[in-house]
Amino acid sequence: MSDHTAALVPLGSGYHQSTDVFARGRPVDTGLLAEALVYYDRVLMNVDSPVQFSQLISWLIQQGLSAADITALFRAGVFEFYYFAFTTNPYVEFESPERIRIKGLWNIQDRTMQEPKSFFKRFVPPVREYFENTAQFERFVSALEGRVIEIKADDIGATAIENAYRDFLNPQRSALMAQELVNEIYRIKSLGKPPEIIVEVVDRGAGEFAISWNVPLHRLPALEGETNIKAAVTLPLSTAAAANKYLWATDRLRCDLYLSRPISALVGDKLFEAADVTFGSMTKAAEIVQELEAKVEFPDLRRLVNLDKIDFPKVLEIREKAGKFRRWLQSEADRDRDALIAYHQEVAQSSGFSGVAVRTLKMFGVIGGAAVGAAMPAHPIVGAAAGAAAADLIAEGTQAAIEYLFDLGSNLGRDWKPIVFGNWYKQRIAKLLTEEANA
Amino acid sequence: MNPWWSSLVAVVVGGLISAGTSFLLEQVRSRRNRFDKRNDAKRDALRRALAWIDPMERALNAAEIQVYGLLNGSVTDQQFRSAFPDLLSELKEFDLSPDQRLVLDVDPYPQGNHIRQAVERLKYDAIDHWGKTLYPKHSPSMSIVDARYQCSQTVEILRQQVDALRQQLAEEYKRTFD
Repeated sequence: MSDHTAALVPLGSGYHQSTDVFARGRPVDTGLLAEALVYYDRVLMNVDSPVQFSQLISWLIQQGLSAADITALFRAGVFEFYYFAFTTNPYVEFESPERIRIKGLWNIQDRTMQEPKSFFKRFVPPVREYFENTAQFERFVSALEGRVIEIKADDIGATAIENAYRDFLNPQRSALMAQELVNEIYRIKSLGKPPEIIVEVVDRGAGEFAISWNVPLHRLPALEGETNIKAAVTLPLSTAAAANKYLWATDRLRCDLYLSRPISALVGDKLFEAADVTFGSMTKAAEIVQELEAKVEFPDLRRLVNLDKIDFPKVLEIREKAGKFRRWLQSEADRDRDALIAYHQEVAQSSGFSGVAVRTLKMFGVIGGAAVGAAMPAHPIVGAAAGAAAADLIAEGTQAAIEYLFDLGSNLGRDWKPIVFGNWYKQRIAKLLTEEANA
Repeated sequence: MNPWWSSLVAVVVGGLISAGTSFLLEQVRSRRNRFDKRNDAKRDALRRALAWIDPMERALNAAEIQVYGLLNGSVTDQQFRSAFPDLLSELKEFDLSPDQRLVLDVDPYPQGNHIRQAVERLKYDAIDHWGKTLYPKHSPSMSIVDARYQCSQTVEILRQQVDALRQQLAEEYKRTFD
């Protein structure tokens, strides 16, 4: 059952998440971690590679945490680690600069990743250099015991990536996914109003598809250097796969998500789609998956930490005073929006941030909590009606993709009432799903 | 110069050099003996002080287990109070005598005593945090995770202090062979 004490927080920066941080050359979004620490008792961190984990520990130390602090945070369970022991990569062939052939999307595991507790073999040895002596390092390693959740490729199966691939081959969904990435690049590079993306998908048969965009994605400016993003056309696909993996994980853990842009938009769309498909009604989906925006007088912790203007000891000090936020999230029965705004002001003042600029707090998900639970139908329509709907899709060879949606939707609003911190607007996905239903 | 005078001078000078050398050698030997005795006494004292480390580490491990047990609800506060390690009684047998403390370059006693007191304080802090995780009822003022973090942080800092004490004693021990 969701108790809103824990959130999965993906910290690696890239084109799919924390793009603004990536553009500044930082490999990990410690600002996002700082914010999540304020709103959640437990933070399940996720990064993609041993190098990123090493950089994360290095940044935490540079931003004021001692080795003893980090060990204590893991030992107490404030920090936990969520590790996908596989990589999800599109299999591509560069035919020409203008043309890439995408042959599929795969979960790939090497020999070490297949072994039990591979996290300790791959991620832990490189961080030894950040600890003063062996005893200190050994204590850190022992604190990690029981604090790492390791997921193998077989655990997650193919459904999440099949679903992402299906979306990628749907011109409207593909355009929606690519639009989020283009918007983010235009915003960060200050390129003005982003163009509207239109995607055309042609089935060439034998499992091959020709996909074209009205805006050549491979000519988009790279954020990490003066070049273009050569494999940009694969980004919507890998972002969609990452979004599905995060949702799969939070569904299994019955926890929340704390996300940056642009992946938050894709997660929101998928959550909404899962509710729509499972309950067979757009109205019901809108009742379950809601948005909440509140203007709060509270420092922009993510930005300030990423600019090194606030260090982690200060973040932990704010966290100590912010128990009210966490209780607000945890008490599903009475989520008073005004109380949340007042708590922010109170905590900001008591932490020495009086007169800070107003910022917008954005979250979405099963915000209604208990009210939504009570209003849920006794059974989702995974029975007859949805079966018929699914049958069509199965006939199109997308059984795994639709299974994923039903899998997510069957728990949504019941045992799993996720709240996602991040940017998402439901209008576009709602419009698209309505158009698809009417087609 | 008369040859018998020069022989006499040579004998006297030779005698003086020989007596001086013997005197100096005796001085060096005596200083070396004193130095060795002091180093022996130092090593005895350091060995005794180094014997504090194991009970301290055991006490910290046991304290952490008890604190987690209390906060997670697997032991009652009564069980916690009685099972919490009593470091003072364990350290008593390794206490340094006043003359042992005097031979050491840096007296480790205040540092050791500080660690012992901090372990004792952890017991009461843990009970305090445990109370905060329970009250006010239905809206406790502290989450269990935060209480665990506060206690873990104290334990980690104490472990670092034990490490530092061990290192300081070990370095001083090695210096006694220089």
